[in-house]
Amino acid sequence: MSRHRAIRNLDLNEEFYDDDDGAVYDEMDDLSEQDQLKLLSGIEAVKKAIGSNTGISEQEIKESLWYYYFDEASTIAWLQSGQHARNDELLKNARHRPGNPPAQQSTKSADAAHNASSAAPGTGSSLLSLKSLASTGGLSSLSRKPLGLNNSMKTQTGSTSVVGKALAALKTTTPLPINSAVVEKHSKPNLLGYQGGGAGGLSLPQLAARSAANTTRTPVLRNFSGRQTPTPKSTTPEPKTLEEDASTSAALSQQMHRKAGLSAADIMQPSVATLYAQPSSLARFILDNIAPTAAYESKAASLAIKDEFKRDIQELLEANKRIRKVDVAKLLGEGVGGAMAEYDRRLRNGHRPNYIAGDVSFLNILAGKSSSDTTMRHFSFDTPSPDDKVLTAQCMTGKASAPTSAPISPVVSSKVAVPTKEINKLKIGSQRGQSQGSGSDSSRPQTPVVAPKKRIDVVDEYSKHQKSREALNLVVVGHVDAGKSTLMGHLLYALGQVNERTIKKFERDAERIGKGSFAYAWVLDETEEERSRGVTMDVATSSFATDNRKFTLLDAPGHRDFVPNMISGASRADVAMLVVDASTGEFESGFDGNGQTREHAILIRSLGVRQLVVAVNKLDMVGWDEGRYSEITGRLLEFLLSCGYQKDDVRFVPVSGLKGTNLVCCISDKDVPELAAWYKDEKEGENASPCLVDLLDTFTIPERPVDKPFRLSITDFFKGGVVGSANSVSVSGRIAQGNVQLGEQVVLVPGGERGTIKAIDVDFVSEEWAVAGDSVVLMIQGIDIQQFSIGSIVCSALSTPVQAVSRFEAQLVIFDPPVPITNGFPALIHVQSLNVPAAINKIIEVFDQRTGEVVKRRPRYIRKGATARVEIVTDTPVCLELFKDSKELGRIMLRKNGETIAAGIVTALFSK
Amino acid sequence: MKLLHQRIEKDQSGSVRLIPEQPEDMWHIYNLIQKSDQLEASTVRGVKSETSTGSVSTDRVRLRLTIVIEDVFFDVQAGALRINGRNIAENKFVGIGQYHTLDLEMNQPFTLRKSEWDLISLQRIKDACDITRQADVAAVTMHEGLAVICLLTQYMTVVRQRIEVPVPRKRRGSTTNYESGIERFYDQIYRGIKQHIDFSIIKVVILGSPGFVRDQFFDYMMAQAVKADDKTILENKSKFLRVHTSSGHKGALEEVMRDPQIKTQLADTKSAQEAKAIDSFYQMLNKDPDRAFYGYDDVRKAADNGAIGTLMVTDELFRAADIPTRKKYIRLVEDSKATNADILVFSSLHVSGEQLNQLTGVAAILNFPLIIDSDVED
Repeated sequence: MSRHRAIRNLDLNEEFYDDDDGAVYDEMDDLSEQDQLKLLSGIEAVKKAIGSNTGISEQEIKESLWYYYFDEASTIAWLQSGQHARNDELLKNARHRPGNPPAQQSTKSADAAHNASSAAPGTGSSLLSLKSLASTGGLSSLSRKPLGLNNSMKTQTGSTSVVGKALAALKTTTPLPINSAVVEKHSKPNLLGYQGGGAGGLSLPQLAARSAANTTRTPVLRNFSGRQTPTPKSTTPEPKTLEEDASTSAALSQQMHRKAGLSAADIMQPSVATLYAQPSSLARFILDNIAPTAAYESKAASLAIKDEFKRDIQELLEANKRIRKVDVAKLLGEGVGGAMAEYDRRLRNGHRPNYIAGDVSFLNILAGKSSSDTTMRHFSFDTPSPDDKVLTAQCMTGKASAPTSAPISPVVSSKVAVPTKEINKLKIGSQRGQSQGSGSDSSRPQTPVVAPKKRIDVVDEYSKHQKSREALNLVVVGHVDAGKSTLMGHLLYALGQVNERTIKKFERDAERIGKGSFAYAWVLDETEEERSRGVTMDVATSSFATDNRKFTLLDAPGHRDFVPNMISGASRADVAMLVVDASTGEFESGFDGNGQTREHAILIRSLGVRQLVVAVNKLDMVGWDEGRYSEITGRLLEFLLSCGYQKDDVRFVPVSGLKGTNLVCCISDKDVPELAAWYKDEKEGENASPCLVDLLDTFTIPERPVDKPFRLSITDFFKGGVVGSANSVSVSGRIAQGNVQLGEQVVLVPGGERGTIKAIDVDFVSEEWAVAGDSVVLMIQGIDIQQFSIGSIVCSALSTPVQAVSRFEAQLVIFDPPVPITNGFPALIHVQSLNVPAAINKIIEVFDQRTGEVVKRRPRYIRKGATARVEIVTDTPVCLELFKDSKELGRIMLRKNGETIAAGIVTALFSK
Repeated sequence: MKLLHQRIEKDQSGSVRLIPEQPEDMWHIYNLIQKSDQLEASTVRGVKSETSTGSVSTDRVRLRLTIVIEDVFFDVQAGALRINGRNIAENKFVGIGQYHTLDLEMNQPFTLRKSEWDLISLQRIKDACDITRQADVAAVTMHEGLAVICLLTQYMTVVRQRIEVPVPRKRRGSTTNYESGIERFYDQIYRGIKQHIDFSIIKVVILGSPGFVRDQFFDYMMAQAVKADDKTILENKSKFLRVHTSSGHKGALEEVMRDPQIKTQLADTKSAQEAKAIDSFYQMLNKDPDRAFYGYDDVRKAADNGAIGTLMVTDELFRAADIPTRKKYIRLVEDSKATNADILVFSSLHVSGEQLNQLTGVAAILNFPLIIDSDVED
């Protein structure tokens, strides 16, 4: 089970598949729009500050800014501090510190560079050489980091400096002629500065690295030069050239580690890739250089270091984060060789904060496991330990999740400007890096050092994946027969979630029982009862994606008898779609009197949904009459505003669910001239007549309490589950807060039994972790199914579990009950999916909603529309949290005789 | 219940001799019996006897005992009443002052002696012995996953079985989990009905549910009955009444009582009357809050003003262990009665009685509005 074998078994094609796609190397893809803006303004500011003729390129500014997290002052300081000084210092100190024997060799390389640079002092080319040296030196010193982390050659074992050896090897084995050839090759397309002034001889180590690449893969160079970003000002002064140089070497090393990294790539990649993620261009290109070095080295001395690799990986992973951080710092401090040490010192002085920050995140990744592990299966272990099996199984299930996040990135990248091709690659790299990290995780079966509690830093993962996981829970509500299921069924069909054949089958079958128009609704109404009656009875869960959003669709029933189900669905929602029937008389029957349009709208608002799209359905029935549309929108808007919705959060769209009009594509004059004639939304600007999907796509993402203790309120549970283990129970629901990952211990409340998470399904796709807001199915092992009930809470075992109480205090907003609410008033309270009989034990006070002033203490009754503080007792204990602690678990609804009489928030819990 | 003998003196002390005939009578007795009353009944006691050789044998001896009641326990489910107290009549086996716990038995006469027979108690005996007011109804309230089988008598709503079967929700692509779950659920209700409902006594079985559950269940039950050739169900098919309720919780019975179909059937039953009364109380509170009072203090004031039109009290208050409390409420009832108020003693076993219990246990609808400063801060 040596690392070596794993390396040998590597499928190289697979391994490098991603990297060969040259089109997606875009660094700035990682930037959010905000950051982009900051960057632009930062560049402006810096330019102004340092003047235009300093010879510092925009690219460099940009990178520096990025490095300093847009801190303009630091950036300017850095840029102006002059790189001469730095480099000189670097070289001076290089001699002071003798390294280990191999390290001395690398010192020699630094010396050589120094000599070379002193040959042309003060000139631009000398600057260049220094810089290139810096880059190379940095490469070596930095390469210690990944090596140290993965192999931890020196600090832990005190063994020889691998990097140094590598460099030495590079130097000794690379014939000089090739070097110059390489240089020429490079310089031609790029017109780089080191063409002149004997540049070829100046940056020896770098060239050595290049030639190493060249010896292994000459065609690569062509490749890379072609990929080089064309720079219009290629003859600009040196700093610019350096930049070019840097990227050149970066690209080169990319190629190189791809091809030459037979043995080392496997080990190196995690670290390399991870460091890509570090927002430092310097570190980045340095790292790019590591790969070839390490690759070469490991080729040369793979046998010797094999065991060390293994042991050191273990040791490193065992160490806790803090220690590892120190180690890295130490590693950096010691340096591979003297030159590298100095380079590092500079790093410490100037760049350390970022650097260390990078380390931390990197370490987190290393300690964590990735869901997109595509390389795992290449490690074939002869005698896998149980631990190994579990991990492998987890990774295998995790594999399926890769596609979910993948499609998003092209969308993002297509929107970002060209010049930052590189980092996209880095992003991909970082993902793979994590997976490799998990690979090394599983390669140490005998020491399950990683504590069973938190293997993935989900919060960190989440912040990284956030872009690709802009998931929203959408509940579809409205009066019965407004066409909710048909509309959503059609939408799913139009978005390709349902195939043609299925729809055709539904049409046939529905026709057969005389309900031809229900074909689309059958997509969501799956039970026999629902189909034969043509009524949705329970919330149907499905999922779909628009350009920028991923939706978990909750199709709620509209029938008043199923409002409890609808509450269960709506309590899982972030945003909502209200469907109203526009046909004559139908809107009125749903809106006036006892219609559910009102009740649903109030309910979802009380459940915390702020954003609402109102789909005015069946408008084709009234000939797409504009008057009807504006009548409905007018009345609805007035009502919705009175419910507490903000005007900007309520948007209307005319649709036809049955015909599919205006769902996915915007209407044109050809399709529905009647509608196209008038349907224009002044507010929307360039997209004057948005379709339903356009509106859904622009919902904003609410804040997710990702780092709070894990809580999930059970909506549904059943035996077995996705993986089909016999003694497991699957529970579904929406994570109210916190995060959860495979293998985590959870506690079930009430009951307090402990179990282990065996599988996580997010939107029907297997994942390794999930966070607040995700609609998940968790498979839990270790708790008997008898212990579960709807409304129970699954909590993290590491936090204080929620309380199950039967007496609590709440603040209620009374809606429109038929009779006043008195002490002892019986009602059903709804918390998430649970409903239990309860009574208002005591009316504490009635207060003014706006001022909060107490109107009356201990009144005999509460009138409709009032706000009151009451004490509620329930028949059976209910899991609740204070509203201030958890919005989801602190909300209650009171219903009586099928009517919603009040909504409230929990303000105090009483244990007895 | 059968009243065999009643002898009440002018000072309201006296004794009655009764034979309980059905489980509900136990409930009545439970409401009659107070601490420190004297009860004479037949009971069984284990008696230890020691022979001259020293060996001890225990014999179960049936004997009549008279005890002074110290504690009463009523088991609603079993309809059993256990009374604990000290023996006051000298006996061959039990000495004076020895404790004994007796179970009141069905169809066995007993004598209850009170130092004071009040209005409520006498009314209770009258009601209990009125055989014309018998209506035995069974009700099953259900929603997906929860069903409650209850028996409703004049004074009691007894939950015979609470069925909770987890029914997995429908999931995308598969409804088998859901369907097998719902079938399991229906099967349990079906078996519960067969077990708990005696169709020779029960005149109506109410199936209440939201949505289509009651219809689905009814169809399921009939299909099963046909399959199993279950005569009792098939013959009593007409006894099943399907009623809409908003949930399957026991509280939904209140809605059942309001259903017009049921109203006519159960118009003169106590539970229907109670439900109606509590309804009109809330209606009045909505319409004219100054004419609907609850809580002892408020109602007392209304009674003092002679304003009470309908007085609603739960029987729980009269079972109060401490005599002053009990007396307080009895006086309230008597005073109200003096002003020609309707008195409704709610059975705390009924849903409406439970509700009134929560509502301090006493409420009144007034004949005319009365403005009182009831919101005294405590």
